Amino acid sequence: MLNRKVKLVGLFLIAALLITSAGLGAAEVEEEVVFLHTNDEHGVIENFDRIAWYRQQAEVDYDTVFLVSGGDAFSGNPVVDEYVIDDENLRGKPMVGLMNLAGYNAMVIGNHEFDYGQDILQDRIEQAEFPMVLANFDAEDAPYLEQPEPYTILETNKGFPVAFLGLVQVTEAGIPSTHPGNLDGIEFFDPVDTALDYEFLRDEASIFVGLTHLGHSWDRDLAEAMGSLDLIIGGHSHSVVENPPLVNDVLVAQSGADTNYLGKIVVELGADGQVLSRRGELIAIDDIAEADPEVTAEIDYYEGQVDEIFSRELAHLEESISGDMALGSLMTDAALTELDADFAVQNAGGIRVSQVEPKITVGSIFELEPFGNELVVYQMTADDIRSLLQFSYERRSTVDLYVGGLHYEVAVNEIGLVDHINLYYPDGTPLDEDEVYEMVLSSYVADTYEYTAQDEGYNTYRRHNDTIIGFIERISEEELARYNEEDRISTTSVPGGEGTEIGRTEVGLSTEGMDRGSVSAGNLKADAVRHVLDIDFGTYPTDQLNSGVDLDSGPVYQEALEFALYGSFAYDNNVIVATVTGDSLEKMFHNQNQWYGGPATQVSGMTYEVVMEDDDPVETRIYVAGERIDPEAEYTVGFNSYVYQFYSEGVDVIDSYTTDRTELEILLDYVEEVEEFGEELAEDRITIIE
Amino acid sequence: MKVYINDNEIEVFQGAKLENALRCYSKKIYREVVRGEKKVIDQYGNQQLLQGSLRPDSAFWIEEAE
Repeated sequence: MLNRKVKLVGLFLIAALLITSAGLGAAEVEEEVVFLHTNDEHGVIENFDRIAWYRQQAEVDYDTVFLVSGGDAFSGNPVVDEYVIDDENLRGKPMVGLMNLAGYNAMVIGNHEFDYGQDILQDRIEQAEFPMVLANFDAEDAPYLEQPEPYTILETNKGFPVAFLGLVQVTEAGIPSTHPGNLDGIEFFDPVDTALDYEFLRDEASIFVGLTHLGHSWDRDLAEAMGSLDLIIGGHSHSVVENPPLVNDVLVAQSGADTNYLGKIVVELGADGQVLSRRGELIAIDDIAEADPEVTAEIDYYEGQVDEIFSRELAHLEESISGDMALGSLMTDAALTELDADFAVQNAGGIRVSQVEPKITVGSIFELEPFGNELVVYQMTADDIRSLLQFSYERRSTVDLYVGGLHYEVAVNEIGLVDHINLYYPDGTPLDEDEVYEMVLSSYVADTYEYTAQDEGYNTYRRHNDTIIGFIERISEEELARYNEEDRISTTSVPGGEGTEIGRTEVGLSTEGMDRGSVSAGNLKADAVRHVLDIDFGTYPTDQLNSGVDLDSGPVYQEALEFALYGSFAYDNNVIVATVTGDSLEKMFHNQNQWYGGPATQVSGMTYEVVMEDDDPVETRIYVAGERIDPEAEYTVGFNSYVYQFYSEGVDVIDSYTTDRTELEILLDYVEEVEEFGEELAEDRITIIE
Repeated sequence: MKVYINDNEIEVFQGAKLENALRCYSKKIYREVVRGEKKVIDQYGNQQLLQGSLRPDSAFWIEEAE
């Protein structure tokens, strides 16, 4: 029988460690074995040259080096995920190619290794020059995947065997976190139960490693259940385990994600192969100063193919697909069709281009949906759908959610709030009020919008941009061209409306014309910042105003201020008060004007001019009480806390602080204090000189 | 699925990641974590990154980044 590790008793951990280092540590070290490890690389290829270099250096310092992965090498970088060259589907190939070159010795198959489909995973297993192992599944009936080895036993340079047992996480649904469509014919088993079936490896190896993709918390459970392991090298939870703990005498390690860290575990073996000591640490990848030039060249090669990958043509139309309605309809149809759901929604903020050019490429779709949001499915009734659409409309006081599979009509009252919403199938038939429908949301909408649903929702693990690419590849160019004709949403006005009156105004609160100068809604907000905080100037970023809102004069309703006018209120932003010179302030404003292409800031306590040439701002001049601002004098200025980073970039700031109160709280304080607003809200505080 | 952030119960969809729970908890703090101003610590004292998986009933705390 081979030598087993020396068992430590958890209750006497400190004493046992002393025994390990003092008593057994006195035994002669026969071999130092180092395990370098990454996990959840997610297509990040740029650091493999540094990992390769470090591996080579470790070979000088230690007797044996193993470089292993805790799984999820794929999914997260279009260079890897969309690697289709000359119409050949080679997704994932750059990743495995670089892992081969960097000298990886073993890897566990993580949940995202299934993302490209079984046939592609089989190709990548065959490409890998290292074993990709997984024990807790049966692929006997899988149509395109051969059963990989459950474990591998490698030898150290001095001939001691090291066993790596592969385990992947299984959800309550009985499968790993990938789209179920990728798992035809595959059965998964509980990872801990499976691991216990492999305890015999303890007797076959000097070092017994759980190479897992379970998550750190589950790794601890595994360690508790299976103290015969020496190490668990894990992944899945993206945990930055700087000091790997001993749990039930098993060292449990994980190294973050995206190759930002390289884990390092040193195991000392005695003459009979017994484990004398184990210690682990993390190395920040940025602390590895050098790189293997051969791997660098290969990284450059793959990154140099970005243009080819992004220029792959999906369709070629006669005209662009233009506007949020057309693009939102395309995006939602893609989601519901690819996921075989009833309906889908797409938020306006997630449509990142105004048009897709006639030649539609992979790159076009990544510009349209660059976030790679995963799609989530909820069971919803018609009333649940209304709750979602009402929240979306009122947060921006305009249509915000585009839809697939249904049409809707929003009736808006005089306060700007939703009175009711009518829902229809595309043929005009009203939705069945008693039916429960499958609704697809992006994970962003699922997280940040308010709505009711009949279940807690589930992640489909399909990225939205990926479904759009698949959808466009499947439908005809004639069908695509018809998206420009889509008209799925309408709004109507209804009289009345109830709200909480907190003030009155002689001037309507409007954002109309905000790109050309000051507007009453902007003046009100900037005035509130200046007066409540008792500072020289108040500001509000024009691009955070909700466009196209025009509320009547008369009562000022709290609900209208909360939802209708100011986009940043959805984020609970505060105000940052900065002390800057007049010269710096002009630079701040001018930088933002250049970025925005016009006046970017609503103001209080000042006026300013923007000089335009050929539609570009070339100069910004600020005035205080009619006089050009003193460039040397110091002023206190309140900015939205999110956009402040852009205003302050490259500019000297003398001092700054962030308010405890949110922007909304500051505005409500101001309106409740002032109560009556007059013509000052209509002041023209910004001049464009052309 | 429920998780806890700063002792607040957060309900997220099945298969959600830390990013999803954090956005449910506070969009402002989410952005501060994205910008590297704050970080998320798990119940064992480890930093967890935003794309990491969630275990039901697990707990996290927000800390200032160093």
